[in-house]
Amino acid sequence: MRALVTGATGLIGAQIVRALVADGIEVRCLVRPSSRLAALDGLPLQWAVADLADADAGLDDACAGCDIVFHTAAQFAYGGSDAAMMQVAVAGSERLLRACARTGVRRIVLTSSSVVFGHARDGVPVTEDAPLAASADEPGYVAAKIAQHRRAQALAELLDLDIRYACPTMAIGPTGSSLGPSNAMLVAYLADPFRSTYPGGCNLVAARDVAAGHLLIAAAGRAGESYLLGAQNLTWRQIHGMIAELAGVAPPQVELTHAAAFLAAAAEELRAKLAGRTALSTREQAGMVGRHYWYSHARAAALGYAPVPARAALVEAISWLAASPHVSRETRACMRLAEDIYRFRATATEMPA
Amino acid sequence: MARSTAGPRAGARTRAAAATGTPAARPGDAEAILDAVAIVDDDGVPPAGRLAAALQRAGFWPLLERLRHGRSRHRLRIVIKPELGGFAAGSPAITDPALVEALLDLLHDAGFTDAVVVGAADSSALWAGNRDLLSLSDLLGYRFATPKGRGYDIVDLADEIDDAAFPAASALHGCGLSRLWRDADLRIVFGTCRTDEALGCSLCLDTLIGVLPLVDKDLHYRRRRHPGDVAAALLAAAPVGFGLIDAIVGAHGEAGRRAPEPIATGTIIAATDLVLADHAGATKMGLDPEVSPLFARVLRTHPLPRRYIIAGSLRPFAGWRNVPPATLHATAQRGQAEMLDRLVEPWLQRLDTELFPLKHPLDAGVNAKLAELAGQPGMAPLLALAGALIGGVGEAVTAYRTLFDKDALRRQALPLGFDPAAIAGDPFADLVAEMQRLEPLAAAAPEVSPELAWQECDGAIVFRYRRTLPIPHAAFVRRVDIARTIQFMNDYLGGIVIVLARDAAGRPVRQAERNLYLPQPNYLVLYQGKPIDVSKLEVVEYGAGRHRLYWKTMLSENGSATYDDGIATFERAGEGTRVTITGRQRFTLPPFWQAIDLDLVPALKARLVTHAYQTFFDRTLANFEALVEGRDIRIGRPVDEPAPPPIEQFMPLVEWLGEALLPLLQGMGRSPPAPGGERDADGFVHITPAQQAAPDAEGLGAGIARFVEDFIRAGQRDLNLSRPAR
Repeated sequence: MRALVTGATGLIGAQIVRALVADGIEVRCLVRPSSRLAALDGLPLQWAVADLADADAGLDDACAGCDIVFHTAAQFAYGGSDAAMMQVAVAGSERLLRACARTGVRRIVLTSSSVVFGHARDGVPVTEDAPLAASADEPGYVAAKIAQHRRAQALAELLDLDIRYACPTMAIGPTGSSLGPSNAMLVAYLADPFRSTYPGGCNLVAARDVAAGHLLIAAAGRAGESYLLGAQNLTWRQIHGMIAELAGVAPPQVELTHAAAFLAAAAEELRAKLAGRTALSTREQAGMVGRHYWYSHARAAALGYAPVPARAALVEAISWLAASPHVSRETRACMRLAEDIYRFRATATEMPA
Repeated sequence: MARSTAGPRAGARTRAAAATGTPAARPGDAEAILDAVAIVDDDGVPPAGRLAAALQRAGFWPLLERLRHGRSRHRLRIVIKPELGGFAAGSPAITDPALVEALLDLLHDAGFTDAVVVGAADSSALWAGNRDLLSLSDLLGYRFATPKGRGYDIVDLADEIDDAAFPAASALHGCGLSRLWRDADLRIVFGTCRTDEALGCSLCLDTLIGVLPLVDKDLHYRRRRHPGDVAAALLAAAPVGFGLIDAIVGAHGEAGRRAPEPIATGTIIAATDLVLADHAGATKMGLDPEVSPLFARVLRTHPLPRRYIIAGSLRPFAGWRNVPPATLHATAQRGQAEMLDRLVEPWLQRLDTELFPLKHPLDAGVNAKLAELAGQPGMAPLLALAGALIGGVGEAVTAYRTLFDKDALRRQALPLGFDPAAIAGDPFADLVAEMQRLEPLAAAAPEVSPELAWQECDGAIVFRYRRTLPIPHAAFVRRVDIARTIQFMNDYLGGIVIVLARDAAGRPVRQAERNLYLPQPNYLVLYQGKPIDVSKLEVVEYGAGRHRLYWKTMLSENGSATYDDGIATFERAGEGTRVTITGRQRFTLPPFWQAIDLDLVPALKARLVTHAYQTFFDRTLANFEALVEGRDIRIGRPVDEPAPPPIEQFMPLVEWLGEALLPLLQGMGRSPPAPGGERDADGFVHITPAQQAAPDAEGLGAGIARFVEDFIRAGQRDLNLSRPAR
């Protein structure tokens, strides 16, 4: 069996590649010319180079001979160019799906997002039965994922494709590519001198489990079905409290209001611009404060999906982050890692570059 | 007039032995005493004649004979470094080329034919044209042939560099040095006599720095290193055999080298010792030589000769005007804002732009308006005020970086500051015993946290910090080298470590170290707190499952510490490593905190001390953990990190401001746009929506409006929290 993985160097893509290789599956990775490949060093892989945002060139060759495609490629950012995100998510996905149809690849696991189903009301976790959310007033990334999901559903019918939708919640963990907004949330708390938290919450899951979920969906899922891949619903205060405990920094001291979160994000954007780095939090994200992005993964669980609790996901993520350049020297100097981190390190076998 | 004297620093270290028992000297007795300074201002003698007389009276020719060691005269390799830092032909701020050529003729006449003039481009080459060595020397008046028709070379000391010229203990360790300078039998520095806004006076020692190869000398040898350390390192690595000062026409005035004013002083100073030459030169300028931080620093390691001859008068030059103390102070303050200070230099430098055109149009424009004005004597107070303001900005930036952005600070390159070999007895055995006596004292201190115990003993804090890290001992000590513990501690900003002895496995067992830490606690920077600068002796032990480092303070160059002694222990503790740091510290508080007298409020003092020590060692152990993770824990940026010319750093800011503000400024004074659409038969102009929206769509104004709108929306959500979030 041969699988094509798009976005193979990303947070979820790289974990899928590793899981596939571990299962003895032949893997072809679709990467952009500018992708950093260090995260996949040493794995027996085939490479295909193409940019989904650009043109069809190379996509047929990439898909040819594959039995399944895991389409994880996306531009994941809050505050980036909405048009660019939409271009990759919608036009890029369409290019890939049409290439699949042309080359006879029928089965595709498309990495969507839990946010396409909106967020919880009155604390009741959202399921896959919820309708796709309206994209008006949503951040560019959310709107792009909703549009991608809709377009893929339409193309599945049009092109007679077996598309299954993996909808991860907030996935964290080691990555060899850019930090991404999910891991950046952890770094933002570690670097925050005020130790601020905010109302609302989200569902936290290990990227490794999301990858395992993708493989389960591929093997046992149903065509056209969506599967939420989460682990644990928590408030932001709970999440920040866990980060504090594991990293040995102060627990949350202050809960920001919407306006304060907006100003804090604006200040972070300004600092990042002056320092020439990516902002750890943005005004777009501040606009999502107060919501509970809580989800149920019961449907995936029925396939055998069994993610580790959020705390275990945080242990792995913080263990990696503490040693990575994503956490600044100054931030690292303020941390006192919990023994759980050291226990994890003693058993861990692999860390991304 | 000639007399012999005991130098003001008689008894200082290096020269003491040689001078013991020297008989009283007589005029012309230079050979007996060896060191001499001649100040020649003989009436009716032309400059070249005064130079010849100065050489004669300072014992120059006997010196050459001694250096020859029986070789023929023409094989003695002589290099002459004149001062070339002038910005106009005939500038009094440079050594007169005619005198340099006269010196060459005198040497040739005496048979010393292997003599070359040397130099190297300086920082001004970054912002002005024709500042490369050959163009510069040509424009300043060097003719490449002496009055007697002998051709000579001016050799660039930036060529043929020895990268290992400076030993590990040197402030210039890792820097290059010209092989020509290094290998010469006699090095002569031919300085000039000029006032200087940074140093008070610029004489031979300042000219000496010009032998170093990097173009941006100002950055690398004066700002990122103390110029005194640099000159001292040069004197140690390649001693200068003779110093000359051209004071035929001095450069005096309040503006220093920036706008040198010529004054006829008719003097040549010659000395067998460069420090002695500068001492005489500064005295002739009516200054205490130690007003120059460069001279004062050099004096620590290169004191004046114990006995020397003064041939001539040290009476100050008549009519000489020096840089006012307020200007010196303001210049020192201004130096704290590296980029700004360097930025304004080409703006204020009076120069002949025909010979040395400014490279950047902005520099040229500002210089044309400011340089002449800023050179007026009456401008000194205003410039001092501006300097103080820029210095204030620099201090604020340093304080901000110390507190919030340590990685933006500049690391420091420092020399050791003391000679371990000069310490009598066995200081290493003594220090181990002394430090071990601290352990019971520290162990008896009350615990203020699970890790920290401390008590005050004779004004010092004796403490013990102990924590077990869940890292196997072997893995820990592999990454955290006990011998480098001092460098791994929190807020280490630079220093130097010299290994004095190693064990059979090649590991350091005895070391001398100088370290610089940020002010502790960091907030003391807001009260003019000094960095902690301590030189230490250290002993390292490597036992089975236990590594130890002992250290004891020998010196604090800036007086920041009386004690900073201790023991660091990394020992096996089950599956982990127990780190124990025991110490005795007494740091000098800034005046504000001394005035408060915290002993009157012991509870507050205890709280502050506990917080300071807990924070420092928590962060130190986080550094150790980070080292095990393979991270770089050093704060600050490298000492010799290249910096583009300040104008290149400044222009993006100007351009950004221009881009950001211009639309606003234009918008303020702009009339409503004229209708640009089609006019129909009835005279109505039809404007499309796109035409209306275009001008401000991407402008700053639109961005601000969007920001305010989003902020108001966020505020509304706060006021309506009962409503479901959108």
